[in-house]
Amino acid sequence: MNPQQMERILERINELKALFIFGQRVIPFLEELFGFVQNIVPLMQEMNKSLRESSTKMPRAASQLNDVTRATELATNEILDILDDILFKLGEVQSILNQSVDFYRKINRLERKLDRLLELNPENIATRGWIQKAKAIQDEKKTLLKAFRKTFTRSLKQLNDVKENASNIMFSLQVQDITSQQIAAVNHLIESVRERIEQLLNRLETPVATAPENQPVSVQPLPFDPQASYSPNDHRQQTADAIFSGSATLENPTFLQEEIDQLFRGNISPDAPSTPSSHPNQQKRSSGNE
Amino acid sequence: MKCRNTSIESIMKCLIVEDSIIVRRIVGSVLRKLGATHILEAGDGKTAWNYLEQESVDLVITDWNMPEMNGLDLVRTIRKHKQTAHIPVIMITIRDRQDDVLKAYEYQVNSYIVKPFTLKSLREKIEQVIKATGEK
Repeated sequence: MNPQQMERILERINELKALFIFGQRVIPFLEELFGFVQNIVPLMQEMNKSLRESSTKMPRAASQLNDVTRATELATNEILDILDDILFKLGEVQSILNQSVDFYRKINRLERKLDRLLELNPENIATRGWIQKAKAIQDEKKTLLKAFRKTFTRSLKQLNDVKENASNIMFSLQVQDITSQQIAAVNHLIESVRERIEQLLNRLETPVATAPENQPVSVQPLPFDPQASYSPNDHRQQTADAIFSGSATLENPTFLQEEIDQLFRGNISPDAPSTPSSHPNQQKRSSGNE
Repeated sequence: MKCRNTSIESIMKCLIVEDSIIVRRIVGSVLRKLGATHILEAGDGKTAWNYLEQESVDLVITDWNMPEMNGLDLVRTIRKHKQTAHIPVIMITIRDRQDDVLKAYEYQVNSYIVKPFTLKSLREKIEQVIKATGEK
């Protein structure tokens, strides 16, 4: 072995030594990295779960907000239809009243005509010509009075319809109660997602410095039905009525309003028994009398 | 059978239990149109029960979803106490699922109205309940 070869071997040994020194320094870091990865995996799994939950909740929230839009749209359209009808009927009432004023003027004119006739001929009151004139005026007056009465009857009917329409508008405003429950359901979903994110952030030990205006606002949760919907059709009421009437078959998840009414007809007495099985309507149903 | 007056006038005092002010106004307006003269209002079941403990009421119209005490718990409380067990109760709610209606039926609700209701349906149910109470 010549000195050059020896020198090369020494160089290699030095390189190996440096490699070992590097390894000694790197191993604790790698161990730390390994530990970090071990710790972060469950956290990542939890994040994954949370994100999955959030991603399923968000479309639900979006769908519920769409329900709010649909409900308000439906109710607004209902109200607009009713208002159209009210305006049309009020227009008719207005023209009827104008017609009535015209009738009143004509009747008044006839009255004056009759008065003049009496004044002009007080002596020959019983003459044939006078009687004929008076009769003609009286007949015309009667016809006008009849038409006058008709206009009043029509006005009253239209006003009654307007009153009914106004009442329908009042009932359409139930949409506010229904949409408030739909929005409460969305709030609940958003709040549950926020809580999950906050839990994750706390686990990551990175407390987020939030400005006072960004601090979560404490909102008193409102009671709600997540399936609240504004659908003014008879079917939903019929379902309830069917149960209360005892005529609904329990295998069938939907009922007719009539059926609900029938069931509740049996329950209508405040002294009704406390269990459905002992309810008079239930007995009727089992005995096949319904 | 003893027959009493079956008009709304025979129902002197009605209690409307509903957290929505708008629905309370609607129901109150119908009751007044039907001739009711004394109408009490409560925004939740707990307040309603406080009224019922102090005053005698002839008819209760209640919502289901309410804060503090919900409508179903209110009905249970009403039926549990001897002095209130006889009061007819009409439930007005958005809950239209079969199991909800059945639950109300089990809790001795006298009539069940699904929101949104109409003047006709509300009037019919009130009259039915009054009639049944009068015939009793």
